Amino acid sequence: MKRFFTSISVQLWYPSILLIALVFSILFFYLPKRQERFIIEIQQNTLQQLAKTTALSIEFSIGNDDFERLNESVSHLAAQSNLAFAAVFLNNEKGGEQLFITYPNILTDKQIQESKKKLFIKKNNFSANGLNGKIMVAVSKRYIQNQINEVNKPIYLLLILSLFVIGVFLYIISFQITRPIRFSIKTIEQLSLGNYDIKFAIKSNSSELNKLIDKFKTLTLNLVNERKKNLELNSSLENKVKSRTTDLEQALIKLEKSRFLARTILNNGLDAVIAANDKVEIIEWNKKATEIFEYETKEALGKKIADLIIPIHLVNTHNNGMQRFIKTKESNVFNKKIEFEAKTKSGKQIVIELFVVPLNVGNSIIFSSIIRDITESKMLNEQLEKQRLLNIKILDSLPLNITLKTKQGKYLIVNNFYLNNLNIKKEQIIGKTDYDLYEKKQAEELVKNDIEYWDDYKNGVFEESHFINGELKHILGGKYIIDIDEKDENSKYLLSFSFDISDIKKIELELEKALKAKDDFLSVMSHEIRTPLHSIIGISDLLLEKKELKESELINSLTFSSNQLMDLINNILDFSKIQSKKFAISVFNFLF
Amino acid sequence: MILTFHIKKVNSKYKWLMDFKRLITGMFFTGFLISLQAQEKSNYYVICNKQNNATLNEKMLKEILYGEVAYWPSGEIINLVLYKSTSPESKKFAESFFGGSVINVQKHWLSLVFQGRAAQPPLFFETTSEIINYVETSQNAIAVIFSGPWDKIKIMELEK
Repeated sequence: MKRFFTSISVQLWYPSILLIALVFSILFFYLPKRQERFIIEIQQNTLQQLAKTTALSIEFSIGNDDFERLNESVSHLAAQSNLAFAAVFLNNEKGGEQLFITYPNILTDKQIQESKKKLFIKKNNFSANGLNGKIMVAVSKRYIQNQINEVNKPIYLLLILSLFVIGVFLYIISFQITRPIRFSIKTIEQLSLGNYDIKFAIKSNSSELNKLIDKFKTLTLNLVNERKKNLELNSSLENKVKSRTTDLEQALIKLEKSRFLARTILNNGLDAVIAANDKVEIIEWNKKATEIFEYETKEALGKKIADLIIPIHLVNTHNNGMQRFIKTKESNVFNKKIEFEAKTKSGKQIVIELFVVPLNVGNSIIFSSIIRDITESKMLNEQLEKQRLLNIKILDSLPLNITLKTKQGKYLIVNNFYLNNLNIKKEQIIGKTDYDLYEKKQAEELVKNDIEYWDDYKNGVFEESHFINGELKHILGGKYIIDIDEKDENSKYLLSFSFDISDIKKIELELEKALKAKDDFLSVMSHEIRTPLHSIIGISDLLLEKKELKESELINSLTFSSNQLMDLINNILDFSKIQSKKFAISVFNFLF
Repeated sequence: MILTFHIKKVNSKYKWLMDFKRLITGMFFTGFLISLQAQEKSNYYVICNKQNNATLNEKMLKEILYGEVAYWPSGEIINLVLYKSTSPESKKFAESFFGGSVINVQKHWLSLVFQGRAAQPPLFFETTSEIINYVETSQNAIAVIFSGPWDKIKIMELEK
């Protein structure tokens, strides 16, 4: 028996199960159905036969006036335990049918019509002695179904019993077949636990399983050998792994350092660094960005750039630009410095300088932005610009000829006064040399003059007189070397200024004449003033010495001299009043 | 229907006249039927075996002929003997007891037998002599004939 079980091929295992399942499903579904059909057929045939026999009995009884035959038929009907009813219909004169009699119970036409659905009905016509009609015999469907169930019950029982027996049979077979496999599993478990001392005591009668066991033996021996090799390999590998691990650790430390460095650079850089992914969500936000935009790194990460730093009136422009770039890879803001309006967390409007670089990382794009807050520098620039314009205005409004030349002799700055004097436009002179503006001889002279200052770096004021248009003109000028950066030769400029002092010169001459007249006047006037003073002083001395002189004559002389001096002094004071333009003339009548 | 309709239409004071008319008509019709029955009755003879001492009245005879009574008062089963439908006497018999139609006799007994209500279906014979011969031999037999001979059998007097 054991041999029989184990000799069944494993390959036939699944097909045989399928075959058994197929046979049983056929038996389960087909056999009862067939039985049912068979029973119904028999019942219908019996019913038909009964109807026919009864009709013939009626024909015979009526035709031969012998009701014994009909009595027998009725006893046959009565013997049918499944009979629902039998009914006789007679043809009436109008050609219709009329219910004549029913058996065993008295039924109406309506009751018969209603019960038709629940019944199997067979009919047969009869005709005798002018009495025509039909006999109807009916059997209950339910009764037939019960009969079918009764018949099928043993079949189902038999099938279930056979299934149980087959199940037990299959279980025993599978148990027998899988015994070597289970042994193999146990062996593998032992091997996996590290127990390599295995005895192969199992043997199977199935050639395939024997093959499997042999192969398994070989496999296990190979495994043991391989294990030894593996152990050796492992030790060398472990060493390698250790060295690799240390290398890796060092590399990781380096990487971490470099990351830390990068992070520190990012955070301590002068500029804000913001990186965003292809959905324009922020993935990098350094300290400087926090300083500029007031958002902490935690707040900013994962948010959309448009939601954080772009003012509302520029959001649409920004979104359109990004969409265009994602579609066409074209943009006019990337890879160059642009100035941009931005907003901070507190809603402050600032101006930023932005440099965006799109980087391809794998399949996605990262937008790296370097941002600088230029709000203050922009304001400073504006102030400087204002200052510059003011300076230019000051220069222009000065009544001086002012020029600033480079060392190469090019005009850098000239003021309006100078331009008006030369009757030339600013564009015609800026960036040009004297050679471009004047005749060669004149230009050479001017350049030579300049070179003197350049050579010695001397600064100085000069005064020159020239005949210009037949008039003698006095000019006061100055040249200074302006040095912005001592080390850089190119940052030295020559500042020249000059103005016409002819009028001043004239005034100076007149002043000189006036001074000379005053000197002359004073030399004359000193004598005139001294003379009455001498007489006053002499008379006074005489009076003090009390010499024999007439006092009245002396006092007269004194009064005369004092009045004269008084007149002189009055005159001098009048002159000074005239000069200081405070001379008042009093008008009154007098007589000569 | 026409009469009723007419009555409804005439004045109600003539209603008694209409009722009287119907009464008179009904009386005439009933009288006619009674006279017919009396005429038929006088032609048939109820016969039985000479040893049979049972007595019958008209009602009992009718019940026996209609299969409603199947046993003699002594408890013996009644063997009813009838003419076959092909026999000329069968017409007379039908006229006397089944409203004149031979097929009615057959239909009646068909229904009785079919429903199992007939304890003993009747025997049918072609001629009067065959009936008399059978009655002579069968002690529980009963038959209705219209002519003799009368020597072999006993004519049953019907009690009124």
